[in-house]
Amino acid sequence: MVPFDAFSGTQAALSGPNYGDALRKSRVFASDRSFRVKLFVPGALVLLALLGCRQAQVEVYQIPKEQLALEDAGLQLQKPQELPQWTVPESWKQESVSEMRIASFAIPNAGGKAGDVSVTAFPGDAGGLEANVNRWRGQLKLPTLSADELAKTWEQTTVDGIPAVFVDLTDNQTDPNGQRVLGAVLRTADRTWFVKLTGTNTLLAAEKARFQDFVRSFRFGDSGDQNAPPTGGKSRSTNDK
Amino acid sequence: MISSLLRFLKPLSSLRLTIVCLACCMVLLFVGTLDQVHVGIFEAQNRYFKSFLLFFTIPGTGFKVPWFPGGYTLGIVLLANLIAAHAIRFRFSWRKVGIIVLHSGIILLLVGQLVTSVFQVESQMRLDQGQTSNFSESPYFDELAIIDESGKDFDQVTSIPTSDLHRGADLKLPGSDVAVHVNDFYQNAFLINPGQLPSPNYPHLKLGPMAVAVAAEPTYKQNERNQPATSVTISANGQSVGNWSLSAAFPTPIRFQVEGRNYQLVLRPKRYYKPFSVTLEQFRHDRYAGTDIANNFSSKVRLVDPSGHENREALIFMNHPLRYSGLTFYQAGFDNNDTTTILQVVKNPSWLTPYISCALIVLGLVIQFGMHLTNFIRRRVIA
Repeated sequence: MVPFDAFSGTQAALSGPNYGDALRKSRVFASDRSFRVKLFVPGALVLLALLGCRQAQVEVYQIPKEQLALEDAGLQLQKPQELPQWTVPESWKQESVSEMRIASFAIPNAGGKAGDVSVTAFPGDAGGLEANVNRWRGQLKLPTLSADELAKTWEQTTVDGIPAVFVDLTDNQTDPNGQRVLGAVLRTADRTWFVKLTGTNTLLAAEKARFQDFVRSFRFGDSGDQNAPPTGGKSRSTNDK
Repeated sequence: MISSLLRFLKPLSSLRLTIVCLACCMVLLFVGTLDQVHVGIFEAQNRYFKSFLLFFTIPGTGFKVPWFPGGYTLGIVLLANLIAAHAIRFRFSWRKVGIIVLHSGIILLLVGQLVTSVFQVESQMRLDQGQTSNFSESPYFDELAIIDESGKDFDQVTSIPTSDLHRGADLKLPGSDVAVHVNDFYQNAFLINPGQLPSPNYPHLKLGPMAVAVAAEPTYKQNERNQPATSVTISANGQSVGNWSLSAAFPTPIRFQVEGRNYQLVLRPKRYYKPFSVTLEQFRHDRYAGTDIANNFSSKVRLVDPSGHENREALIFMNHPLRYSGLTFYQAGFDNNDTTTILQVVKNPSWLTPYISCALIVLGLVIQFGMHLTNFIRRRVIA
């Protein structure tokens, strides 16, 4: 049998029953061992350098303009958010939108603060219907109610086949200048739409019908879904039961 | 030099060290698996297996004391132990070829796992029915992206990891006059209405007229992610351009201009762009007849790569991922009443090493035990 050293490529042609002992004493392996030992140090340094790569760093890179990248691929970017069609009451004045609002309107109020209408939309159930109505209640310093109690205070309906809820909240019914909120929450397949009118009791009493007509005029087209679930939820893993 | 190295390597090649390390690995695996219930898989992996030391915080002091070696320490010591043993003790003989092949497999497995842990990138691609995307997003990490839109065909993205964002940090964009000063940073934040603040002076970041961000405890739950928020001041050539508050929960870009160049500023999940696009054609969530129990999740996607002239359909389902361009797309989740698919996108340059290592280990065992068996049979025949 011819022992072969894998590291140095040296062959030691030894024979006889004690060739193992002879190998242990051989100088070939002594020098080979030092070679292997020398290899150990740079190996350890490479390992440590590898671990240093884990640190997240500032990156600079170029991307084709997003629309272009997809057109190049022969595809069209789906619009991130399709807006529903609606009919705005004539007396409402369109305002500029802020970063969260999709649409904003002011309702003139002779001798008082103008009413403020906002339309917003958030992905999924946006935290849930109850939490959002309680958030509006909190803005009027009204106590938080349980889901069952809330269900007694709102009116459920459908708008363009979409489940919708109307709420009417006021901090003081007897005060004409008391703050009042008229709200509507509409749940399409992928997002929740909030329409909210804030103003005084007197103004909102006069505007309630117009507000409800505005919400009922919503037409979602492809962005709506007749079979939308009444409540949404978090994304699910395929491992969930 | 060599003799001193040998003195160092001899104890490192000890079999006792191997046994101690393996015992420590068992303890680490046990403790890490138990703690996974509290901190989730990702944090448990980082704390126990992708760390050098485990730390115990002395209650009420914030002082951290190391109490046990982490996965990296044990893995590296085991690897060094094995290599040192080979460097000092083992020498080649055909009778030991099985053991050498087997040990090579174990070394490759350890090195492969180290490379995986350092270079593997996991992200998710979320697609609505009919939607096309050319990027995936990290389920764990966020970035402050500053996008220079002034190029004709390309946008230049500067991605700052949130690990660099802390109160008072000053960051200069490479190759640009734009600098970012971090006024405040919350690792996790709730968005609430300004009216819900306990008091007007309660620490918060004003995101808009309807929302403020307040700091929250970081979450480690499996089905939740941290939603950081930050307030930054952008300046150019020492002149302030503006102050903005941003939240990853509401990743709407803010636009600003510096010397006629248009920029976007957004805090969002870290993005990984691809040179190709994926379109979701159909997501299926099939159930056993008459029950709500799922029997199949699948996503039919179209993959289009303009550079590689690739344009084909692919069906991704359980144990049948799509592999393309060094990436693997697995079916991972769904959303929005079965109209959205979530694909796990994994980039792992050493994905083949576990297969090769296991093959080497099996081959080594077969050779070694085969030789013993042959010798045994031969001796019996002679006897």
